[in-house]
Amino acid sequence: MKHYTRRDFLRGTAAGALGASMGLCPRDVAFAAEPGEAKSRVILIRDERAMRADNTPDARVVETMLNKAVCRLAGKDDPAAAWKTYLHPDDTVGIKVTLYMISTHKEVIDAVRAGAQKAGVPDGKILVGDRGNSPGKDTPVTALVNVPSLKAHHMSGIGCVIKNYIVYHPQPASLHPDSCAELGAAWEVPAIKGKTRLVVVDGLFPLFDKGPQVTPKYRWPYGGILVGTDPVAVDAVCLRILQAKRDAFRGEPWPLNPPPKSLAVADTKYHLGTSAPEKIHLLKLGWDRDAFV
Amino acid sequence: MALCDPNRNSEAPSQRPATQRAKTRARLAAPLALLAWLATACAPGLRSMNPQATFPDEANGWRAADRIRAFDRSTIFEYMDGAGELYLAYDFRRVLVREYTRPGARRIIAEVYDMSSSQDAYGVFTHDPEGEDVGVGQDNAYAAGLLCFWKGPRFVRILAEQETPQARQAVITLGRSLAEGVAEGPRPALLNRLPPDHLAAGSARYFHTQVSLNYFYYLADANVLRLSPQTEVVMAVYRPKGEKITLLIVSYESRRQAQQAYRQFGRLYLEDTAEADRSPRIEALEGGRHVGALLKGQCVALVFDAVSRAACERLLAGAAAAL
Repeated sequence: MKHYTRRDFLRGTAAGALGASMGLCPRDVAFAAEPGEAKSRVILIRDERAMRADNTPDARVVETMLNKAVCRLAGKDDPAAAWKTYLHPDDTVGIKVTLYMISTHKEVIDAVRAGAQKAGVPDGKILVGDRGNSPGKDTPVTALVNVPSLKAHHMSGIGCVIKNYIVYHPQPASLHPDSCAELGAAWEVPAIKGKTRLVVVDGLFPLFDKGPQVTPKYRWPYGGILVGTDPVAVDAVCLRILQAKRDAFRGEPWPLNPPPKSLAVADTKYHLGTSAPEKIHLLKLGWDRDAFV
Repeated sequence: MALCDPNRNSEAPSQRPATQRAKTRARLAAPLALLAWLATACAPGLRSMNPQATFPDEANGWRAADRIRAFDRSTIFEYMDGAGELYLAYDFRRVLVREYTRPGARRIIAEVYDMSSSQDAYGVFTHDPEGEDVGVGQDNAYAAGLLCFWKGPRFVRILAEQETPQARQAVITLGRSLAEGVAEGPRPALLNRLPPDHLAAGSARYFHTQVSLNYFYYLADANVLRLSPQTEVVMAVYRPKGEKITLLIVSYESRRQAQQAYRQFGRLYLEDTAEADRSPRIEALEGGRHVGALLKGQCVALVFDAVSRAACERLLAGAAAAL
């Protein structure tokens, strides 16, 4: 893997699939205009009622949002049919969530569980967990739904979809150096490799700086959920949201440091998906004010 | 580009053992860390040997939980996963954690970080010094239910899960209690080397390693400046005539180390092998931005992102005079 300096980003030689995912590059690279032009599709759905005034989610609104998003991703009208696109009655489904620091909201987890049930998966074959209890770690699963929360991360730039699997690696901390560039290695662990069917990002109340420790002044009620099947593409959209929010907050460019090299490496080395905006079709549904993408 | 390997030896994170060993260690971690705390809490500036006595039992109606959790350098990931690297980048010893609850209200979580020096407690604080000054510790910042402050070798972080007027008062009360009896300690002396003209208030940062540098100001994947736990770095933003310029001053253990780092910076960042030793120097880089570099004694000063060459020269000259 090539090493980069700040100058590589400033002069654009780290652009393309690598640079486009990193905070120091030009931020006006557009997502694919039409689905046909894209390699990957990401659905962003937002609802201003998703977060109540006390910054707790409304479970009913959240479940409705998620079902709509999955329907659009699958191209189906019926939620059950849409969920069956990704999960099957004979699956043992692992829902890998984030339970520490900026945790995945229970309302999102419940909505994913309900979705798996709609697909016909018995409740007893739906496992939810994190860290030592992560589904697939000790208990075998046939399918995974990756359900992280959206947050900036002081070690990796962004700590979301790709980073959510670090706990599967036998030595998680060994993935910390070089801005956590090798996070994609965690996806190679045999117990989970190739089993991720769906990505659902809890963007209801994200954190745009100082993650993963909870720092309330950098959280905001975005009221969003992102879904997709390409983990790198979903992270690339999440990155764009965080970066735009940071710039808006400061009123000047506020690069997400360190640049999230792990996305580029997940793309080019581990081939987990695409980080290039022009290969990602982003479909936005619902509330559009301050969507940042 | 053939960059040197990052200096990871001393900052290599602890690696998690296999699952079973991890579980065993987790069971033992808290009591062992508490013992370690008891063994070392006589360090200057710490009020008490007794973790129980560190925390008040009550604050504005929030009652302390019986359990106090303790984590040291080897177990901090058990508490906060990768977030622990922030503290491991300094000479962090241990953290005590206690929760406070009140019927009908969300939790308050108090974390007391024991650093080896007041300088490092200050350094951790500079990761996020923005907020309201509520008069706790040597510097503090309160915002949206989170109070952070440092005093002596302690860095303290108190979080109300939901900010209400009552929770805010409880957080501040807890902070005052945790600051009591802790002797103040000196700030890093290197801060005095920052030229005062056009220095942006609250922008100073203090750290040691590459991990921190790339969080504050991404320079390169590799450890171009040869930072290590033994190096001291101050960084600050300057705003002359609307510009936003970053000044970095690195103090090495020896003049030779400073020379090596300066040469490596010239070679790898300025991409200039022939004149890598030239000091001072100002180079125009991409986007019309200027970089200034200076080697003086065992210090290296670097100016980044100056639009005007004159501003770069002035700031570098200011640093030269202060070093």
